[in-house]
Amino acid sequence: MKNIIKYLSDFFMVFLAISLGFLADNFRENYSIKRDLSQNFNSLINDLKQDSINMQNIMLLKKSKEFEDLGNLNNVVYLYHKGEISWGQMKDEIKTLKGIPSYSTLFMDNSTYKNMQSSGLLSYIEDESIKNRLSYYYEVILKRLSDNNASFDKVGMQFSNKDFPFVTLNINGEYLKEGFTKKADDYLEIQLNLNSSKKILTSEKFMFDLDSYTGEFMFYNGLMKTIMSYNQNLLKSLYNIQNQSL
Amino acid sequence: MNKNIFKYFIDFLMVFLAISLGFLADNLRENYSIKRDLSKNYQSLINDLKQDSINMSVILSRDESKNFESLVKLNNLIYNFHKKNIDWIQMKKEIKTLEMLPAYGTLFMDNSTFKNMQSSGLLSSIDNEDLKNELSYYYEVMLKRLSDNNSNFDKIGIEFYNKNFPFVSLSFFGRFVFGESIAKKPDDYLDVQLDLETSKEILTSEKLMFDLDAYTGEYLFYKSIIRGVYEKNQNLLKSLYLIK
Repeated sequence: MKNIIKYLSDFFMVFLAISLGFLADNFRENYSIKRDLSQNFNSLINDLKQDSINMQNIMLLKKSKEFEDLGNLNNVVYLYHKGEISWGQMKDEIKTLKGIPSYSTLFMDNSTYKNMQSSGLLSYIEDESIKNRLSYYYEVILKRLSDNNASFDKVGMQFSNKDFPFVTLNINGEYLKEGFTKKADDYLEIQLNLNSSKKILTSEKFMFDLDSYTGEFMFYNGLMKTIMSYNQNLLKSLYNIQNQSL
Repeated sequence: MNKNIFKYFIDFLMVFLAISLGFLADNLRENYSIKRDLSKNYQSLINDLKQDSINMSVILSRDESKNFESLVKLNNLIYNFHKKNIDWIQMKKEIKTLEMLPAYGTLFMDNSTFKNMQSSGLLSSIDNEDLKNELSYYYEVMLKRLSDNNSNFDKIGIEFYNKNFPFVSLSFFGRFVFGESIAKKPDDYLDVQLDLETSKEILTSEKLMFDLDAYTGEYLFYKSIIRGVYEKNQNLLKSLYLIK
């Protein structure tokens, strides 16, 4: 009887020791997951903040002198085809333009999200709403953005290089203001006096091409606004989580 | 001697049993944790699929919209013009009454939970083979097919609205260029544009008949793909709800 009790207590001790070992390992793992999650939330906040700065820069284009000039160019072309101004007046107006806004696109940083996805950390996020919004932002919106980047690039390149090839009025003009390749001050004036310039700017085709570019520009800006609102919501939720865990 | 062997044997048996039971307890905990993770992932899958189905419903509901009616009307106008039932003046008048044509909006599916399950090895813990097959068919086959069709539809849509039918007031860009901004178009913009010789050339050209067919065909084909994906989506949702 005494032996049986001894054996049983031996058994119980070993069983307890092993189970406690597992339990301790389990606690350690849980703690490490929580720590990793917190670290990744911080990285996500940094990624989202960087995205929002880049978006802000693109959205600011709509408040720029260049955007105003895009509106002016649209108006000048419209007035010319309505017969309200002549080529001479149109040319004078174009000379006053500073340039048209560039077709800048946004590239989102999804490295932390990809890291969380591949390490399986995503499934440890307890807040379902954040998990859904994160996956929507990085899976759906990012793909949509990427498709729209390609469209905008295509339309923008066609417009700047073929339909409205006045280098001093587009984004590339910035690089031709100094150095060996600096353009002469009267470069635009000389170019506007060419027959080809008159042909391009007074053509009906140009009215449609300008519409395409303007439409795509405004649409892309609208897309930025939508993404920005998702970005800000996510940032707010992540800040809340981080504050609660402090 | 015999007594000692017996004692060692009992000691060994006790330690062996205790360790085995310890492992068994850990195994049970692991199984429980896999089940809990699976359940959480099923919930996330349901959310992803629900979001997909909302996005699909938006695309599918465009059939009933005014924009789709305009597309049909434009097709009829072009057909009647080439059949000589109407002349350019009548056609122009009718075009002025059109609403914006439908956009080439595409669907982007959210496959993050599936990817997460795939990379964490949770997929192999799904007991229901049918569900596993349905999930991988939806997220591997259908998503790739959709993605291919997205690029085709985008390509044709961009070409159509920027080159073949470049009337910004009648495309979905109209919403943006007629909104409040410095670049806002004047109200008579379409009238002025339709009076241009180029507009007549574009709209009365035989080429537009074919280009419009291409866009309309692609539009309808894309919608049929969305309908197919939607059906699969609803089946999957049903199966996941049953499991939950």
